[in-house]
Amino acid sequence: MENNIIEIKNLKKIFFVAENQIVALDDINLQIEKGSIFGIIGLSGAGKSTLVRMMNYLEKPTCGEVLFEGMDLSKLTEKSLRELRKQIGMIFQNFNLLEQVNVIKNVMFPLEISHMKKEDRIERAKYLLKLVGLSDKEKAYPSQLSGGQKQRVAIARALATNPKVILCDEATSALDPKTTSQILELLKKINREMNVTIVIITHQMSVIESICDRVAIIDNSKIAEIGDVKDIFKNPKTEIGKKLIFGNYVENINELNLSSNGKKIRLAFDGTNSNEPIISKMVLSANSNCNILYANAKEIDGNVFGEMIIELPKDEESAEKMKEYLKKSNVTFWDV
Amino acid sequence: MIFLVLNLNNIINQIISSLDFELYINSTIESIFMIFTSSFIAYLIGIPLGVVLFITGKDSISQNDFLYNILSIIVNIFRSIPFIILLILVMPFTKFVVHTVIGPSAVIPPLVISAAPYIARMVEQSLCEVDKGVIEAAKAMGASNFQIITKVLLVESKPSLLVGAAISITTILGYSAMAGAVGGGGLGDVAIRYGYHRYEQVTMFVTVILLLIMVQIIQYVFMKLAKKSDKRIIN
Ligand SMILES: Nc1ncnc2c1ncn2[C@@H]1O[C@H](COP(=O)(O)OP(=O)(O)OP(=O)(O)O)[C@@H](O)[C@H]1O
Ligand SMILES: [Mg+2]
Repeated sequence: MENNIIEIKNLKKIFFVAENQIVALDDINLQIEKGSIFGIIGLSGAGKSTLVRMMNYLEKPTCGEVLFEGMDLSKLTEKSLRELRKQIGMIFQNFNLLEQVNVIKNVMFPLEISHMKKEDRIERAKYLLKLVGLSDKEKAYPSQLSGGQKQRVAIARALATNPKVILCDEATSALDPKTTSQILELLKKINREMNVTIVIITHQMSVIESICDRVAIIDNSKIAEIGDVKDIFKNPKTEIGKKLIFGNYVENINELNLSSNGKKIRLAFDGTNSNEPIISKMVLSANSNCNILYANAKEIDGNVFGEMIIELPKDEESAEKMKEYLKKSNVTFWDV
Repeated sequence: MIFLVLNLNNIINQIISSLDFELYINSTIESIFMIFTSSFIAYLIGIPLGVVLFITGKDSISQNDFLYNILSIIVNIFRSIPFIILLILVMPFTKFVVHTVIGPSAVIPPLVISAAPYIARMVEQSLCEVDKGVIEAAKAMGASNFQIITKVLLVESKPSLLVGAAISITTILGYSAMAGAVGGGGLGDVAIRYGYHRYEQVTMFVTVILLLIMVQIIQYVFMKLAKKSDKRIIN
C-alpha cells in the first residue's frame, strides 16, 4: 500500500461534447510502485493521454479516485493541487517549451513559479543542464535545438522542482530511433540515480520493452492487460496485447495471399523450443516444401516468441507428416 | 530644356515659400501627442480586457461563458459605432474629463474609448496564437492562472502583440485625423481647415504626406521590433 506512489481506483472519465458522451476511460484500476518505470500502451484514441492527465489532475475523473502517496486528489484545494503538481514533472511529445525564452530560463521557469531565489535558480538550472548534457546550450533558444535536445531541456525543466514522479506523454514519439534510445537511457538513469518514478505513455512496444518494469495495455478506454513487462511479452492474453507485441497481427488470413490455395496453418512459438530448427526439421520430416506466408517473432531473454503462417504442400500425405512432426515437437498450431 | 528646369525650380520655390512651417510642425506635434497618449491609455485598458476575454473564452484557463459573453457584447457595441459618431456621443464625458470639447486633449477620451475595445480584440487574438501545449505544461508545473498570464501568455505572444500594436496605432492615427472634423487639432484639423474649407490644395497635399510618413514610421518601427523580439526566427 505505502509502496505505491500513484493508485487509481475504479476510475471513469466521460467527456460531454455537445449532446454526445464520449467514454474516454472506464473501470480503470492500477497501482504504480514507488521507484518503478510504469508503461501505458495503447492505440491512438485509447485514452492514454486522458489517463496520464488524471495523475496530476489536469483532468478530473467523472468518478473514481486518484491517490498520490495515499492522498485522494479530489480532496485538495486548487492551491494545494498546484503545490502537489510541483512534485510531479511532466514531459510531452511536442516538448512544450517556451519558444520566446532561452534554454536556461525554460529550466528556471518552474523554480520561478515556486519563488526560489534567483541565484539558486541559476545554480540549479546549470546543474540540471549539465545532467542532461546541454551545458553548452544555456543561452540558445528552443528553435535552435534539435528534437532530442528540446526533450532534454524539457526533462531538465521537469526535474527542476525535485519531483517524485515524471509523467511522459509520448515523449519519444516525435524522435528518430537513435534519439529515442538516448532519451530513454536518460530517463532510466534518472530513475535509477535519483529514484524518480517514471510513467511512460507510448504506442511503441519497443519503448515499453526497453525500459519499463510494468505495463498496462489500454484498449477502448479499458485496461486490457496489466502486469510485469516480461510476463506480458511472453504470453499476451488479449488480441490487443498480441497485436501490440507481435506487430501487425494478421487477423484475416485471406489478405495474405489470395492466389495460394493450399491448406494454411498458424504456428505459435511460446519460447519453449527456440533452440530447435523446427521449420527445417518439419520440412525434412515430410520430404516436401512448405511456403512461409507470414512470420513475426521476437527474442525475449533468449527465447523466441511469435507466430508464423505457412502453406502446407498440396499432397495430403506430406501435409499430414508435417502436422505430425509439429505435434510431436509440442508446437501449438491450428488451421486457418 | 533649361527653361523647363528653371520653371520647375521656380514652382518649387514658390511652394516652399508659401509653406507655413510653424503650422506643420505644431500640428504634427499635436498629432503625435494625441496618437501616443491615446494609444498608451487604450493599451492600459485593452491589454487587461483582452486577457480577460482570452482566459474566460471557451476551453481556456478560466472559462466563464457569462463574463465572456457580456464583455464580448460590450466590445462589439463600441466597435460597431463609427468613430465620428462616437466623438459626438461622448462629448459630455469628454467635457467632464478634460473640461473642453475642442483641441487635441478633447480627442483623447473618444480615441481611447474607440481604440481600447479594438485593442482588446487584437490582444485576445494574439493570445489565442500561443501554443496550448505550453499553457498545459505551465499548468502541470503548478503555475497559477496569474503566473500563466504574466509568465507564459504575455511572454510567448510578444511578437504578435507588437504586430498588433502597429495595426492598432495606425488605426488610432486614422481616427485622430478624423477628429480634425470637429476641431480636434493635429494634422487632420489642418487638412480640413486649409485644404477643405479654404481649398488650399498644397496644404492638403503636405498634410497627407506627413500623415503617410507617420504611418510608415509606426509600421516600420513596430514590425522591426516584432521581428527582432521573435526568438522563433533563427538569425
Ligand atoms: N477534452 C476532450 N473533450 C472531448 N473528448 C476528448 C477530450 N480529450 C480526449 N477526448 C477523447 O477521449 C478519447 C481518448 O483520448 P486520448 O487523448 O486520451 O487518447 P490517446 O490514447 O492519448 O490517443 P493518442 O495516441 O492519439 O494520443 C478520444 O476519443 C478523444 O477524442
Ligand atoms: Mg495521447
